[in-house]
Parts: sequence; C-alpha cells; structure tokens
Amino acid sequence: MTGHPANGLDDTVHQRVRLGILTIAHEARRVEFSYLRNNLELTAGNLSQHLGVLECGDRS
Amino acid sequence: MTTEAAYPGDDPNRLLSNARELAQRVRKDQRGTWFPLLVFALLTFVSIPVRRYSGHHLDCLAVPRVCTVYSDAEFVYWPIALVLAYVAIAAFYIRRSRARGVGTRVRPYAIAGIIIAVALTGVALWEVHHPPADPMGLSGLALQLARPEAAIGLALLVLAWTERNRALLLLTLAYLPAVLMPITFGWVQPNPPWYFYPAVFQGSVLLLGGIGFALAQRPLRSPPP
Repeated sequence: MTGHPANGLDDTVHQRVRLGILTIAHEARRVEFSYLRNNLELTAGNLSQHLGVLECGDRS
Repeated sequence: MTTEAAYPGDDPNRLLSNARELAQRVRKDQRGTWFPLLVFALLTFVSIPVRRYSGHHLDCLAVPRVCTVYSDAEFVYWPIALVLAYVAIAAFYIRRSRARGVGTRVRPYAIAGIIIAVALTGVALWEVHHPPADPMGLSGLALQLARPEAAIGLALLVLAWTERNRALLLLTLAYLPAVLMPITFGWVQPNPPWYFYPAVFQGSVLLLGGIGFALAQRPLRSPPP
C-alpha cells in the first residue's frame, strides 16, 4: 500500500523546474541549453544545477 | 542527489497546467507550417503553364468505352517537384530547428510525403492503362486520390499529426474534398478551357493557408527582448 498519491511523487523529476526540463525534452527530443534557459527563465548556473540533479537521478 | 523538495507552495494542478503550457509553447516553436503550404501553392501554380505547354496523350479503351487524357506534367513534373519540395521542406525545418535550439519532427512528414508521392504516381500510371469504368463513381475516387494534389493533402495530414496542429488539420480537411471531387464537364479534350480552374482554387487555398500561418506564427519568430 502506497498511501496518499502524493507519496508517489519523486522530487528528482517532479520538482517544478526539472518537470519543465523533462516536458520540453519530451516534446522536442533534442533541445539546446539556451532554449531551456530562456523558456524556464533560469540562470545558466541554476539550469546546470538542475540538469546535474537529473543526470545523477538517471545514473542511480 | 537532490537537496530540494518540490516547492511546497506549488499547487499540483498549477504544476500540471504549467507543464501543459510549456509543451504548447515548444510545439508552437517547432512549427513552420507556412513554409510547406507556400511551397505547395507555388508548385500548384507553376503546374498550370507546365500542364498547358507539355505534351498530352489520349488513350481510349473499346471495352469499357473509357478515354483517359493525361499530360507529361503528371508523370514528370509532379514526381520531381514533390520530391524536391520535401527535401527543401526538411532542410528548412532542420535549419529553423538549429536556429531556435529545439528539435522538430519533420522526418516522418518528409518521408511520408515522398512515399505517398511515389506511390500515388505509380497508381496514376497504372490507372492510365486500366481506367475505371465509372469515373464519377467510387472507382473515380481512386483516380482522384492518385492525383498529386491529393498526395499533398494526404501528406499535410501527416504534418498536422506530427505538429499536433489542429488549424492545419482543419485546413487539410477543407482542402482534401476539393481535390478529391471529380470535376468534369462531360467532354474530352487535352486542354479544355477550364483546365486550370481546379489548380487555381487548390493553389489559392494553400497560398491563403500559408499566409495565414505565416501571420499567426510571426510574433513567435521575433527574438525575445
């Protein structure tokens, strides 16, 4: 039994910005860093950090 | 490993709505619908003089008593023009995709377009030697389907699907019946006076559609401030 559906949320992918990154990547399949940065209104450093989290999540 | 949880203030509904909005924005950025429409409008208009001044052939069968009129343009101009058009469209989408930094799904459209064009040209060639007994009936529909204008319409359906573009789907659903409707006035001659009316109408639909999409997509092309 998993309890409340919210317990099934994974912070790695369901965090607001990272969900945005994955949504864009799913639609486009190939997307450049600058496109993500502009559309998600992030700084380059912030975006790199989120991409790093997704990359780590993918490895684990 | 992540150190931050999902924003506690974020409403899940708003999160999903933002994701949907983002997906819509990406789809709009991927679209370049006006270009294929304008290319096909141009090809349709150019086909008028090509058909007028190219050679014509008249084949008649005794049983059933059916005559088929066809021009060289149908088997030379259109197959070459369609293949070149799909190459140009694919190049346009790829260049645009690189400029915007977001990938597009033009490959299925270009491949489907070329396959449909080649297949329908083959069907049209076959029908020249095996004309339908009743050109105004159901068998005539196959004759109309084998026309290059129908090939353009069928491929536009694929483009509407790959771009998830409802407006293009509606335009194509209006264009296809106009192409599939057999237009004849009952006499047979290589160049009847009305021969260019269907092409003008079909080209105009594509041209107006292309202009409409170009205007609709224009604000998206301007760089962000």
